[in-house]
Formats: sequence, structure tokens, C-alpha cells
Amino acid sequence: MLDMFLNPWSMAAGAALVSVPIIIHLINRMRFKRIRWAAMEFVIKAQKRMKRKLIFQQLLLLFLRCLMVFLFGLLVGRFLGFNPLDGRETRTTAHVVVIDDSPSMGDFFRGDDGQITDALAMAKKVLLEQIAPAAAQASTAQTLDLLTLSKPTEPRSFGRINNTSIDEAKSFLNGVEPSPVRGSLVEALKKAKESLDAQPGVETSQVIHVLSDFRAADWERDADAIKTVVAELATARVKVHFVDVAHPFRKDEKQAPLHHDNVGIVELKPSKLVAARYEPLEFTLTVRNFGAAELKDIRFPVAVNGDDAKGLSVQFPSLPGNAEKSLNFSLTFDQIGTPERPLDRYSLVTARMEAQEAGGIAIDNARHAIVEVRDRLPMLVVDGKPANRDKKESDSFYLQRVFTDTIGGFRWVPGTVKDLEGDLRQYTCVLLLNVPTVPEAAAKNLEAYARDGGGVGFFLGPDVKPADYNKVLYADGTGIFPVPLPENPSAPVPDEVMIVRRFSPTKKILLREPALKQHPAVAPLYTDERGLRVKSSDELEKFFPFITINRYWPVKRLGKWRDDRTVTELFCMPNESPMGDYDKPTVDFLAKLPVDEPKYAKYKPLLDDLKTKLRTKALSTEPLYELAALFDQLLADQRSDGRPEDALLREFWGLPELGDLRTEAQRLRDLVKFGDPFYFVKQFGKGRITVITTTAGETWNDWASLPPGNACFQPVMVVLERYLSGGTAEANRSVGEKMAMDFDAARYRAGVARAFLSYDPLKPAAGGAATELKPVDLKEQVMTTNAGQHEFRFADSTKPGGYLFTFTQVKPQATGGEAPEVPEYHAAAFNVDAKVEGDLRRWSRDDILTNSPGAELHSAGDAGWVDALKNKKSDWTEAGWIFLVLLLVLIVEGALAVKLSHHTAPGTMDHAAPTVAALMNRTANPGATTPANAT
Amino acid sequence: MASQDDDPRRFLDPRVIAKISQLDLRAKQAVAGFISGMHKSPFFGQSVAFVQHREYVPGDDIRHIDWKVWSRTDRFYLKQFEAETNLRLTLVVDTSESMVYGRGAMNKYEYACTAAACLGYLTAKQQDSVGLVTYGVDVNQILPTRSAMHHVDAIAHSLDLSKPREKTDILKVIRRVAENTPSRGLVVLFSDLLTDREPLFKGLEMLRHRRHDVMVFHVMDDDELTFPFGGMTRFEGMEELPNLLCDPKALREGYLEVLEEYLTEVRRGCTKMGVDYSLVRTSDYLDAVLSRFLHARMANKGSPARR
Repeated sequence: MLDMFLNPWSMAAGAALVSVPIIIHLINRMRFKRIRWAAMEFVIKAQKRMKRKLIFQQLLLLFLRCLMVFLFGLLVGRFLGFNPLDGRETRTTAHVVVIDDSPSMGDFFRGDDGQITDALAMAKKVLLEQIAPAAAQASTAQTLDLLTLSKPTEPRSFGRINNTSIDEAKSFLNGVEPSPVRGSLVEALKKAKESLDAQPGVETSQVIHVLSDFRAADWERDADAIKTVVAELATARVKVHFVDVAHPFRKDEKQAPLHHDNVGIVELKPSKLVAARYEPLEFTLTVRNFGAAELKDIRFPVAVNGDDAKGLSVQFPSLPGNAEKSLNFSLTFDQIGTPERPLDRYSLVTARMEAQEAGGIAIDNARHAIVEVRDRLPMLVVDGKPANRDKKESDSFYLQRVFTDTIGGFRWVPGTVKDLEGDLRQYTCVLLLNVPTVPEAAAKNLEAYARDGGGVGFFLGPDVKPADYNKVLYADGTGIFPVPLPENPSAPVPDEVMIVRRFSPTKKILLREPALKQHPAVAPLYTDERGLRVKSSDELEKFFPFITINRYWPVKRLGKWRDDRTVTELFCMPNESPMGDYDKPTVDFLAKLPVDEPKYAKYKPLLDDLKTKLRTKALSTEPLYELAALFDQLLADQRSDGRPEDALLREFWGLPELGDLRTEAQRLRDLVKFGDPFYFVKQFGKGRITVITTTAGETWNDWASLPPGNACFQPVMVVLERYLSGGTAEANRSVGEKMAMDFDAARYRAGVARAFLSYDPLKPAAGGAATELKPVDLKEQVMTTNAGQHEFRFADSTKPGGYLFTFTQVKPQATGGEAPEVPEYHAAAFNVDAKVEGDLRRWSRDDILTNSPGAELHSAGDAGWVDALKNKKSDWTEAGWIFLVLLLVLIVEGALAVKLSHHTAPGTMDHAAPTVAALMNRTANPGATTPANAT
Repeated sequence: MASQDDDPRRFLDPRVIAKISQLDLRAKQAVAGFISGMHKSPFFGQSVAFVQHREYVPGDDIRHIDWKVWSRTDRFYLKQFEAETNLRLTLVVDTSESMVYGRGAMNKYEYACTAAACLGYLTAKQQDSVGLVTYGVDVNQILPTRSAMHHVDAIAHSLDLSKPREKTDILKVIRRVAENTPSRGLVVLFSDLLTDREPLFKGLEMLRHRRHDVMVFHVMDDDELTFPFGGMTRFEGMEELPNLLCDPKALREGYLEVLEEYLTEVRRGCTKMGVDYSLVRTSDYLDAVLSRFLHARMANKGSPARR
């Protein structure tokens, strides 16, 4: 009972005082005046008449006075409530504060004081000015541990919370900045729990505070895991407070809080990781506008090794809200490694946004890519007929001219099948030209090479042994070869037919579908150098009619490979069959065209005309391509020539009831139009495979040798090489992400030298800095060895930039000239995960609370919740309403007392009494009512 | 020398007398006096005011025969004139215990006595006769009606001698008054009327039935009208009424209500019987009260006498 009051003895006195009004009442009854009274009759009558009312009013007044004294007693005694221990903690409380220092916490804004601040600074403020001081006021011992999301394994303990420890925490937090590393909240919560469990003392109350911005991008991804962890914490009776520190501050009445706009570079990707010196290397810069407003003319300077002069500047004329846009640009590099400074082979390419946006985060406004530049790029070419090398008849003759003479920058490494079993990682790509068969060991090596990002290009030819290819390379779809080969190549075309074909105006190579123009293996052929504008197809394809392909391997469009999504047929040859093969299906199809139905009357004239033409053509002996052209015209789905009837036909085919007929028409058109496949690509692991079903040389075709058709040979080959070597290009490594590589323990040393190549492009002094950018050495890493393999695991990246690794290859059987240890270099660029962190959308209150059962969500703008941390007994005097009740009681008591005439002003009696004049008037006018009568 | 409180002449307040001495006390209706005076009489007399002719019957005084009528009609008619007579005023003063109450300059008894004495003086002064009856449970004293001025002293002395101490039996008293005043006169009752209403009205009705002109001076103290008490009070009842301990302020509303009902009942009862009723507070100036009363009586001078 006594613990219900802060001042229990005052309350006891108050309780005793409650009887005072009763005592006063009793004393008053004992102390009375005596009056000898004549008009007793009236007094007795009045007493009788008012007895009940009087008793009730008197009791009510007495009750109000007692209540007044009682309330005063509660106030003075400071009543804590009927259950004063409810919600109060009597044990030592351990607080662990998890500070989100992910990049999105750099979301800056102008605070109330006009100073620019960010979410992380707000988190520090909440901790130092709200949580810690409130906890310090608690009557029980409170301890504080801090950990950041980027380094959950390094909690910092400040011991018992007092002014000294708060100052310590302040100086510690001064060093905490938004980290480029995006940490996991789940991990941090687990570590926080471990930290709580490690606290000394048996009975402690455990509280975890998470100061974060609660971005939807983070939560949506980890929602289930967070839910599980928070539920576990709730089971373990750990109190979890989520404090949203992002600006604009979350408000209770708003379900979905507002967020700042942001623009970030989400990708800077070179088309390949290794480039030749002076070779134009294409980069793709992708920028995302996370805000809703369209931005205009955003310029992105690109620096090479920190030098803007060596780079260029690209501009997005417009960036619509909530949209991602990419553009391509090319850079050439001149800096290659030297024996003294081997790491100079790596050039750091940095794109940054020229002007900082008005809000959002700054760290995603720059992005790095790292490119290895070599004097020449080694390209392993295995010619099926090595004896014919350097002769026109050889398969490699024209290719070699393309890569060494015309465009340069490549080191043509002629090899044999045996070389395929060696280390292929040094080559940008491997080309197999009419190789009869590939031994199994070589196939395995090729697979490993391709899986790690290498590119393998096949050109078939007469020597290819299809059975071996199918068994070793295709391996029922699991190998690197995309398709099974037929038993025999196509039959040679007679010369007279060849002559007819040569002079026919149709393209000898056809793109399988218009959508394939976007495929990376051919996209550069159809787009300009910025990757934006689609070039006219004719620019390249105008040479296709002049190519003659005599023989090839006619791969059937049957079997498993058709369902394999990694395999794509890019180009094929036209269907050279006679018209007679397709006359009946065409006529049958035309019979199904519903031209006569009244609802299609709108399309009838057009359809009738085409139907007549198709029928006439199908029944003629003219080349099949003419029928195919008419089908294209009918379906109007290949390209738009701007003819008015195309729109009408598209509308016709778009009618829902004609879906089946359209599919049939398309199938028939494909049959009529497309012949056997010509060019396949396959994505294999990270690497890429290309297959051209005919020869690279002039054995089976004149693509490479005979003008004017050979004009398109070189661009296609260049793009092919770029595609093959681009498999290694993976630009989107995030800071802190794990990187894994395995090495043969017998051939490599365990020690790995590491270096870091970067700068902060957003610091004003750094932009276009003339100072030479040099790699900074990091601590050497020793690889762990497991089952004969060195396992290289790198997860130590903490800043955005290029990380360079030097592995050492040991050559025990080194000959005289060869060094016994050869360094092997690898590099990777790590950047902020802009796609996730740049998205500043915040999760709604409901979503957070649903996915964190038992946790409480607070806003940095409302510090009221920290009162609970004070763990202070709060009495009713703090509520304020008790004063209101007391005031009401006082007013009612006063009113009642006045009504009962206990506080009447002097003189009022006489006014109420009948005056003599009034009474005289009554005598004179007996019928007149008196005031008392009136009442 | 006797103190002011003991002097019976204190009831003859010179200020009041000076104020009212210019006025006359007139009976509202015919009174039956024994000498001629200024008041209308129920009988025919010698005044100049002609009333009626009446046929002669043997025995009538032939002096009153109107010969002019005989000369014209040859029949004997008597000519009758109004008689004017003197007034017999009976002052009935309540000397019950309740009349002692009073916190002002005068208690109710003093006030009633002063009023009675002044009225007696005025009556004697205008050659009318005045008598006194004081009563408690029964009639205490009776002074017969006399018109001599020294009789006023006797009345004052008599009032002074009466000490209020008993309860009242009003009906009994009025009956005695009625028996003692056989001829019509003016009866003025000075009382607080704190008695049962039924015997009071019965008594008054009896007086009215005997053709007396009845007046009631209802004397009440201010305290009784306003009930201005506060704090716990024990009211000790006079005239054998019980005591009561109460908070008078809380009761005041009810008290005034009951008082109002009582006053209304008394006033209506009196008015109904043709009794002239005046409620007088002890704080009222007596001269003003009497002046007003006398003026009211004089206003009725011209009205025909009720016989």
C-alpha cells in the first residue's frame, strides 16, 4: 500500500485529514447559538419540508469537501497508481544501441537550426540527447553498448551510463560516418543480443535501440529474417525500440512517411575487363532518378585515374522521375604496367555527378570501374588445319587480318588443341576454327574457363566431327556447345544455283527476330556509339545480300536446346526451298482468313488484295523469299515503313479472337522465311559462347573474302570478340561483398599482395586532381587451403574503389629463361550498392510493426517515448488531469456552498425579504401576488 | 425618577402623536355610540342629513311629522335624519410570550403598545371613547371605554403593567371582547397572530357578526420576516413550542416559503371577512404606519354608512 505513493506519510496524513470536514461538521453541531424564537411554527414546517433535500445537499457538500481533501492528499502524497511496479524495471538495464551507418544514412537535409545535417547525425543526436540522458536518470543501473551496422562484430561498451560515459560515446560517435558498406540489420540484431547476453549479472533487463532510416529497400528484402530475429528477441524478453531518424520525421498520423529525392549512378560497366592499349573500350553508365521530378541536363564527368583530362564528360539531356537511363561512351587507355610498377596496368575509371542534387545521399553520386590495360590482348586461336596457317585457304587467314592488321590491339596466339588444356585465363577469348574434335580434358578446361567468364568462339567447317562435338562439347546440353550438330553438313550448292543466289537481292543472313537487335552480341551493330540511337538496319545489313554461303552445318530446330534459355539463335539463313514446298500450307492458311465476315469489312479491301497476291505468289515458281516478303507485309510485325495499311493490319491482328490465327500465320511465315541457323550464342556460367555454323575462312563461304559482302565481316567479328571477352565484366560489386576465387595449391603461393586504388571524386580538391593516383598497399592476405585448393575469400573492402590482388604462380619446372615465380594480377571494383541504398523510400509504419512483432517504432521528431527509459516512478501529479479534477471539485463545492447560502453576501437577506411597502401594497391590493408566491 | 423603560407614558410617543394629532380616527361603518359625535350611527337622529320619510304610527313623536307633506297629501309622514354618534374604540393587545421577541429598538410588544396608546390618545382627543383589553391565555385586563383624556393614561399604565409571558387562546379572548362590547364599535387587534388560524378567524368572524368595525395590526419583527440567522442555532420555542437545532441558512428558503403561505392565508382570511388588516414590521416608523392607516380611514368619510 505504501509503495503506491512517493510520499506515503503525506498520504497517510492526507487520509487522516479526510475526516476533517466531518469533524468540523460535528464540532459545528456542538457549538450552536441559542435564540428564543417566536415563529417556531414556520421553522419546524420548513425543517420538515426541506429535510430530504437538506440532507442530500449537506451530504453532497460533505462528500465534495472530503473528496477535495482526498485529492489534495493524493497530490501531496504523489500517488503512483494502483500498480506502481507496472512497467517499471527494478533490475539493471543493459542498453545496446544499433546505429545504422549504411550509405543511405548520409541522406542530408537542412535542420531546424539551418545547418545541413544528415540522418546519421540525427541518430547520434537521438542517442546522445535523448536515449542516454533519459537512461541516466533511471534509478537502477543502466549500461550502454554501441554497435554499427557496418561493423556489427565490433561492439563498443561504455559501461554504466553517466555523464562521463555519455561524453565517451560522443567522442566515439564523432568518428562514425556513413559507411559505404551496407550492413545487415539481422546480423546486427543477433550481435546485439550476443552483446546483451555477455553482460555480467544474472538478472538484467535488456533493451535494444535501432537508430535507422527504415528504408523500404532494406526492409522488403530482409523482412522475413528481421521478423524472425525480432520475434526471437521478444521471446527472450528483450525490448526493441526502433527509432526512425530519417528526415522528414515520421508522424503517427501518416502511414507512409515522406522521403527525399535522390539521383545515383547505379552502374558503370566496361564492356570487358581487359582492354588493349589505345583500344576504344566501351562503358555503360546507368543512372537512376529515385525521385519523382524530371531532371534536365545532368552532366557526368568521367575521370581516368583521377584525371578528368584523360577522361571525358557525358550528359543526360533528361532524366525522368523514377526512371533509369543508360548511355554508352568509349575511352582509350595509354597506361600499361611496367616491370617496376606492374600494378599500373590497372586504370581506375570514375564517373561522378557534376552538380550535387538538392537532397538525398551524396555517396551514390560517384562510381568506379577498373580496367586492365595491356599492350596487346592475347587471343588463342586453334586452327583445325595448322598446316595451312597464313594461307588464304586457312580458316584463320581473314580473322587474323581483322584482329591484327585492321583493328590491332590483339596478340594472335596460334595454338593447338593441346593448348586448350593449359591455363586459359590469360586469354581474352579462345577461337576454335574448324577444329575436328576437342579432347575431354580440353573440353573440361574450356568449360572451367568459360564458367569463370571466358569467351569461346566456334567456327565450324568440313573437318568438324559432329559425333565428338555432340558427345564432348554439347554433352546433352550440359556442355559449352549450345546445339547438337547433325550428322552431315549441308550438301554443296551447285554453281549455277550459287550464281542465281548471288544475284538475288535478298539478304543471305537474317536476324531471327527484330527484338534481338538488343542482344549484347549484336547490339553494337545496331546502335550508335552512345548506345542510345538505333541505327538503320541497312547500315550493316545492306551488305548481307552479297554474301554467299555454300555449305554449313544445318542445325535442326528440334530438341532440348530450344527450351534452353541460355541459348539464342541470332542469325539464320533464308529459306532456299522451292515454292512448291509451301504452296499448299499457304493456300490452306489463306482459306482461314475471315475476310468475308461483316465485322471485318473494314479490313476487307486490304486483306483481299494481300490474299490475292499471296495466293498468286504461292502458286508460282518464284523464289520463296518473295512469298516471305508478302507474309511480312500481311503480318506487319517486322518493321514499320510508315505505310498507312500497316496500322490497319496491326489493328486487325490485334483483335483477340484472331490470336490463334496470328500464331499460325507467324509460324508459317517463319517457315517460309527462315532457313537453317547461322549464328548461336550461349551464356555459360559467367562466360559466353558463340557458334557460327559455317567456316571463318573462304572454304564454305565468301563472307570474309569477297567484296562487297566482306565489308560487314569485320564489324561482326569485332562485336563477336567484344561479346566473348565481355563475360568477365561485372561492374556491380558492392562494398563489403564477398569475392571468391580458387587456385591450385600446387601452382600458387598462399600469400596474396593487396592494394587499393581509389580517391574520393566528390571532394572538391580531388576533382580533376593533377596528382598521380597510386595504389595504396594493403595488408597481405594468406589464402586458406582446402583439398589442394587455395581458397581466396575477400570481404574486406570498406571503401569504394579498385582492389588489386597479386597472386604468385610457382613454376617448378621453369626452364632457364623463365622465372620460377610469375605474378598474376586480378582486380575488382567495389562500389556503393546504389540501387538499394539510393532508393530512399521508407517503409510504412504498419509494415514495420507487422514485421517486427513486439517492437516499438518511434520518430526522432518525438522524444516523448524516452520517458519510459527514465524508469522513474511517475505519479499522477505529472498527468495534469488530477489538477483539473481538483479544480472541478472546487468549483462544484463553491457553487454548492453558495447555493446552500453559506457564503451569502451581507444585505442579500433584506432584498429577499418582503419590504414594508410591498406588504402595505398587498394590504391595499389583496389579489396581487408576491414574489414568494410567484416562486 | 422612573427610568424611561418603566414609564407608562413611553407608549405615548410625542413624535407619533405630533404626526397623527392632525388626523381623525374614523369608523368605516356605522357605530352605535351613546352621545352624538362625528361618526355615522345606525340610528336616525338630529343631524341635517335627510334620510327618508316614514308613515306615522301612533306613538311617534309628532315633532317629526313633515307638515308640508300632510298639507299636500293629508297623510302623516315622519321626516327622518341621520344620527351622528361617538365612537367606542376597543384596543385589544396581545400580551402572549411571543410578543416579547424583537432585536430592534422595540420588540413586538412595545411596538404594539405604542401603537395602541397613540391610537387611544387620538381617539380620546376627538371625544370618542376608548377601552383596552390585554390578553394571554385569557383576558388579562379590561379597561372599559371612556372618553376622558386621563383615561389614556390609564390605558398606558395598564399596558405597562401587562407582562407578556403566556400562550394565547385567541378565540376565548375575542369571545370575551365581544361580550363586553354589546354595541357596535371599532375593535383594533394588535398581535403577531402566531396562533392557530382557525380560532383566529372564528373570533374575528364573531366580531364582524356583531357588526363591529374590526382592524388587525399584524406586528412582526424583521427577523421573523427575513430569518437572517447563520451558523448552527438552537431555536427555543416560546409559548411551549419545541426546540429545534438547525442551520438556519439552509432552512431559510423553506422558512420564507412557509411564512409567505402563512401571511397570505391570514391576509386573505381577514380580507374575506372585511377585517382591515395591516402587516407591520417593528422597524417601520410607527407614525408613518398610523398616518397611513388614519388617512385610509378618513378616505372612507363620504361613503354611506353601512347599517
